[in-house]
Amino acid sequence: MGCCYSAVGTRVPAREDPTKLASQTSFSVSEVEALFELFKSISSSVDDDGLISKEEFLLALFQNKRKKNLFANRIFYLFDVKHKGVIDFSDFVKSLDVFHPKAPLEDKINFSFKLYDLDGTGFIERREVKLMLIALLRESELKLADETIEMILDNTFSEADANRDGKIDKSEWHAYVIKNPSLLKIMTLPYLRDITTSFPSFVFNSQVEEEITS
Amino acid sequence: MENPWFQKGFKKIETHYIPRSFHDSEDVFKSIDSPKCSCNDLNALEERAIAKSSSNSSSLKPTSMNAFDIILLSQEFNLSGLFENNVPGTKSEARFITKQSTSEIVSKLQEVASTEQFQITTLPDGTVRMQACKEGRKGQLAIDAEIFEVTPSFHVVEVKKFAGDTMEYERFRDQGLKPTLKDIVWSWQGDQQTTETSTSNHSR
Repeated sequence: MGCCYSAVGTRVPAREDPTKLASQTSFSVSEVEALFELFKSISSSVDDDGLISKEEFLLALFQNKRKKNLFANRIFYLFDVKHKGVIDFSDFVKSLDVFHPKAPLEDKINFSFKLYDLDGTGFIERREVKLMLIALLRESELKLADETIEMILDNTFSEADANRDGKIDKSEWHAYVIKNPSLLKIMTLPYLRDITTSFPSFVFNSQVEEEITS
Repeated sequence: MENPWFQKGFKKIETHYIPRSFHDSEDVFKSIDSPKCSCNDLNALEERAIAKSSSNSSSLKPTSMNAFDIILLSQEFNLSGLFENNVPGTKSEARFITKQSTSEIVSKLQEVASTEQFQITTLPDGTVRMQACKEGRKGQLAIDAEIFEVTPSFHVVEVKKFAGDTMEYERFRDQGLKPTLKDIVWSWQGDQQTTETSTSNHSR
């Protein structure tokens, strides 16, 4: 771990050697350094303690730490690899690595499975999918009749739930996602491939708009 | 090679929701050599082609969405917020939800196109592409509107810049597209905070 010091007195987040993190992920050493800049700005937004709290995570994602939501909680939980209630730099880099274009498909499929398995039972249950669907509809201020919601769920489960037990297990999810690759769309952030050119560190602090072409 | 400018009939395609990045159809468009379109000629052709297709109500078949596709529309799933230092309105992709039918959506888009002097084409996958007749800062602005069906009375339309300058796209989207679509849009997503989030009592 690096040591913490600063001329001004604010704590600098301790971090693992970037070379080590680079060797364990799809990021290069300079990309890990760039991610450290991002990590520093997120982790110091509420408490300058070198760690990302849930509050800081939500603030970074939505500029609104009070916003209640289903998925961000789940994503935070998954990023909090060691389940300490905070995300350290190593957690941050390793979790983002799953979203790298070069990350193995298997990792993306597993992450997405855990994301939808809201209560962590190892199954994506119909009631969990219904919960997420309703949350989306509420977010869009759209009302659908209950029968319509049930119909959407029926159609989805008839395709995904191969053994008809009312829930989707890991292997069913795997097969379903291979047939429907759009479901993994959120699991890749294309600009992670060239993060130092897409996001030179000064951009984290400036208002310059970057044109991202994918 | 199929030239979409001169398509007389449109194929019904039954596919699942596939995001733009998985498409090859962009290459079809790029390979068409039409530097400066003669807008009047092509407009006339388009009008005839579209008129033919609208009379056949099932001609533009939107792709269908399953529960997970719908869930993924949620803004909460968008991790790119970590990177984009958000100012609302800087994302180039926007979606709206509508209770109108596909043909009503298409005719509304045609209305936008004729008001703003854009040409409309329909790509084989059901995407409506609008291209400006005039050259912009970075070439002709082109916008895609991809229509997805959840139920016959619940459609999601994803609006995205395909070519051209981003600022011009945003101006077109906010000043040209949105006001005209106001009647059919239930809600917009993707480029603005929802009304439930905090008021502007924070700053970055």
